[in-house]
Amino acid sequence: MNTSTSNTSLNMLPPGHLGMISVIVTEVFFFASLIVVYLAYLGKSISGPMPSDTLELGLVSFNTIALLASSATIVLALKALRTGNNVRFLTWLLCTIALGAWFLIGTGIEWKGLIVDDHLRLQTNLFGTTFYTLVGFHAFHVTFGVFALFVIWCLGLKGCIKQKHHQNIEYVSWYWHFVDTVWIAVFLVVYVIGR
Amino acid sequence: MTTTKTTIKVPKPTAWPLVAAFGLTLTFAGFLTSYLVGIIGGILSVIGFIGWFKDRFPNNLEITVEVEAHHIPAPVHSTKSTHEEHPHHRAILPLKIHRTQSGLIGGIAGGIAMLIVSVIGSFIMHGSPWYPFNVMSASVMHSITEQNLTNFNAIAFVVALGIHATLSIGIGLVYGVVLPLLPKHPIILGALIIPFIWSFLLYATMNTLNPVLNETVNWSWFLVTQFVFGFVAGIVVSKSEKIQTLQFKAFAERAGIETGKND
Amino acid sequence: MTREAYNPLSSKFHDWVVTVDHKKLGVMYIVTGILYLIVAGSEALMMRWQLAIPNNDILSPDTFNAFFTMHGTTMIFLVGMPILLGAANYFIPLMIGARDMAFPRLNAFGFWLFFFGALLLYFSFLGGQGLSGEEGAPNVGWFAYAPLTSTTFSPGSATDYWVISLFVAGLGSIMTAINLVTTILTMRCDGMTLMKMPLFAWMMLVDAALILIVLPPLAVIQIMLLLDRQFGAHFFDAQAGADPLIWQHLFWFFGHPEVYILIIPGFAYISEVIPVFSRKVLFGYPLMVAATVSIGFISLGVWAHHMFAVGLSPAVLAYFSGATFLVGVPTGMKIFNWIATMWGGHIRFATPMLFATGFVSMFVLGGLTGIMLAVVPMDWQLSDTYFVVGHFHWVLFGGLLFAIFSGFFYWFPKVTGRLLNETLGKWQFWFLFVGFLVTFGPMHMAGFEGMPRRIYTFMPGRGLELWNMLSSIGAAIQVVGFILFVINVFWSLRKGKIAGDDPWDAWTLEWSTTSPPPPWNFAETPQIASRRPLWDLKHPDDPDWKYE
Repeated sequence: MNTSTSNTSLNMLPPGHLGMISVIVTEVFFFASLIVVYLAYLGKSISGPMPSDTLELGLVSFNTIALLASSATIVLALKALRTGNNVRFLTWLLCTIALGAWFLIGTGIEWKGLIVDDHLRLQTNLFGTTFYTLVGFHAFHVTFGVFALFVIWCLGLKGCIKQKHHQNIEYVSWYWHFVDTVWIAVFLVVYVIGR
Repeated sequence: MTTTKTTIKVPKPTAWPLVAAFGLTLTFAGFLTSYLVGIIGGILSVIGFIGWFKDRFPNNLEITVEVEAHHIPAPVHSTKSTHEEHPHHRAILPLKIHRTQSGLIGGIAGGIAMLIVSVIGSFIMHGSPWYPFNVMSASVMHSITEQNLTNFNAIAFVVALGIHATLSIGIGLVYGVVLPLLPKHPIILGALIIPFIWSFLLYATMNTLNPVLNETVNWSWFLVTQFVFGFVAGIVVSKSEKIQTLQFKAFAERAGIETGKND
Repeated sequence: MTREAYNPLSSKFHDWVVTVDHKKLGVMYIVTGILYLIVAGSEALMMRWQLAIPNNDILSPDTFNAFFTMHGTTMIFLVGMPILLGAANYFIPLMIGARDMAFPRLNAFGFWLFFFGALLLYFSFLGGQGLSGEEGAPNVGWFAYAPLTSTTFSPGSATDYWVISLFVAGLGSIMTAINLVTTILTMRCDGMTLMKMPLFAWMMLVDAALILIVLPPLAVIQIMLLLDRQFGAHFFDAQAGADPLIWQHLFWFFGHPEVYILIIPGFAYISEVIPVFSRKVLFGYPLMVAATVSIGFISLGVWAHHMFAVGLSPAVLAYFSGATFLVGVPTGMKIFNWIATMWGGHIRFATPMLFATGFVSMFVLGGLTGIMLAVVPMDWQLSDTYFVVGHFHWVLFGGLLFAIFSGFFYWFPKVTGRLLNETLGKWQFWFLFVGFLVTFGPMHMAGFEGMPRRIYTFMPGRGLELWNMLSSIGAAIQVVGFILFVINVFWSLRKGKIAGDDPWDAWTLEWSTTSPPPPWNFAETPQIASRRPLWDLKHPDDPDWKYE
């Protein structure tokens, strides 16, 4: 059906772009709410342990560097995929997965220290409640991202990921960058402002 | 109807999203019932998501449909449209409205007429012209009591006059805008319908809002004074001249940035 | 694959279950919504029966608590949301000239999440006893204030059912909102620039964006509550130093925009119906778009007007009161635009238009009582009284439900191929309209007299008997209207007048295809040049695009 004399063709973005942006917008508000609650309850714990007694900057700084570096490696992986260099793509992807896993293992070690040495659990006080919820939900998102990247890597090993898929992989990389950005905010709130 | 054969691709129906959603719901329901339910839910949702993924990768599963008839809706003849009667059928508002000043003058005229009628009524019923002034100021002044309603009180007089003038002018301005709503009978709208609506609203709510004040008001006489206001203000407003609106002028002209021809 | 296999009325159960077609999903959303409307309506009816006379004992206090909780929760999440998402699902692709939504499978996923979440909520009547065996359905009110929801005050798992079922259903709404935003922004047909979209699409775009923004905070507090109840966390535990008001803040950050999420689709239906039945172009299209977007923005900054009575600082009170007044401005613009659209038109009072005019007039009144409640001292006086109940029913029943019926009568022929019966429709309108006024008008008066909401009975001799009796009589009048509606739907599905493609002489793209539309919507994707493509098609001598 054509009701006009002049046709205007619209240049619209691919649906995946908007879909991924919407997902990220909704996730932003999810984490924003968690962070707001964390800030609102900062220093409200009636009994210890308090953030200043328990949180150490040492280990978490290494974790942070690992996670931020993974944002760079995934960019390199994508670049390799676009140029059709499959081996390089898989190598950089594996680096990204390793860095993500490093972050998760590092968080696990930190939590073990908090639980065993400092006796800080979810149930202990308000700090424990908000800390484990905020950091835990972020770690959950990292886990999901590592899992997705791992699936892509396995499919890549089987030779199923072609150059034409670079757009879809890019959406996964947006998610990964988002998770990194959230970590910067969480790091600032929990380890810099909150300590 | 032209018959051209085209093929269209539509996504293949699939139950995997349903399986995934059911599994996810069961996973969460596991918190409430037993871990077994949660585990079954988890397994189901993983199966569902894998199945879904396979629908999309490596190829997007689609079915191709052959469409035969090129459907063009039969040209309907419009039943009725405003389009024949007005040159600017795409934006019709009142093309002409009253000037702002006519609302102002109407409000003042109505207010004076109402004042006169109220004072006459007060003389007849209470033997003093000050009763309506005191009642009106009583809504804001604590010193007015039921006993001294017929005495002269200078402050009450000024306050009541101020309230009365503000309300009269305000309602007059509203009249300037709304009376063209009933283009053929502006007087009926202004002198009967609108005063009746607000009098009824006041009558219905006054007992709850301020029962003491409610006792002092003679509602039938109140209604008469409202009708007098509406009648006078309505006549003044609706007899005043109307001017063209600016709706078909250019934006710059409407915003006062450029001046068109003076009118 | 023949066309018969896609006929929505004769296709098999299996076709519906596995479908990814936006139209079938839309119909399933709306049918589910109407079924829950009947359920939640019956709950309301039982409550009105209980409150008809003082010291009545039809419902026990516990059952009454469960009923008002389930009534509110159901009406918001299982009636309002699915009907608006279903209508958007069905008509957005048709109106913007697309073959389907951007992500058809995600669409199915979203629907089934909603569907199973809803079932889980009602399963609580059977399974909600939990270990203590004390309660059945959730009974903490639809906004479930902390600390009432703590395990101390709400043992059993009824409250957990409330949390989890709404969390799952909310996840489904987020999926559908992602889909709607993407579809509207990326799937429009040739020539349909943003400012040539039907207003329906614009309003649903704002609506979906609001869902994306405010449902995550709800999910967060639900997770926090679940952690408190199941894992011993302290989010709302005042004894551990927590502030239960955090729940109210975050809940209303979701809850207030939620009522706009519900009413904006109502605006959308009205904005399509009024021009067609006034035979005029919608007045002030760009202003309508601007007003919708600004309502969306302002609605995010007014949440604490639900909390005036909790003891906020004067500056906070002043801000939220002022911001609330501000909502009246864009809303007023819309009202004036609808009236200006009707102005001087040839108005046809078919049933859709009756409901639309009912919407405009009643919504203005409901908005005015809202402005009254935005005045802080007035709110202190009336907070948690029946005045508030009267106010929001005025907006959601007189506003949203009338708009839904308007849209239902308008688009039913497109979906089913048959028109609804006009005579029954008009009777239904008048029964609902009168019943509505008689039910919810007196509630304002009962509120003025000091009747608190959520009480299962009241004492005689306090001036409440008349108002409550009137409300209950009004509820009975409404029942007649709803029964007429059900009869009308079943009768018209079989014997209704055949509609044809375009029974109302309308102007948007959904009327350019068959009724019901084929699965692919359009054999050839349309190209448009103005906001009213069908006008251009019907009046080639005087097309709209010359003026836009």
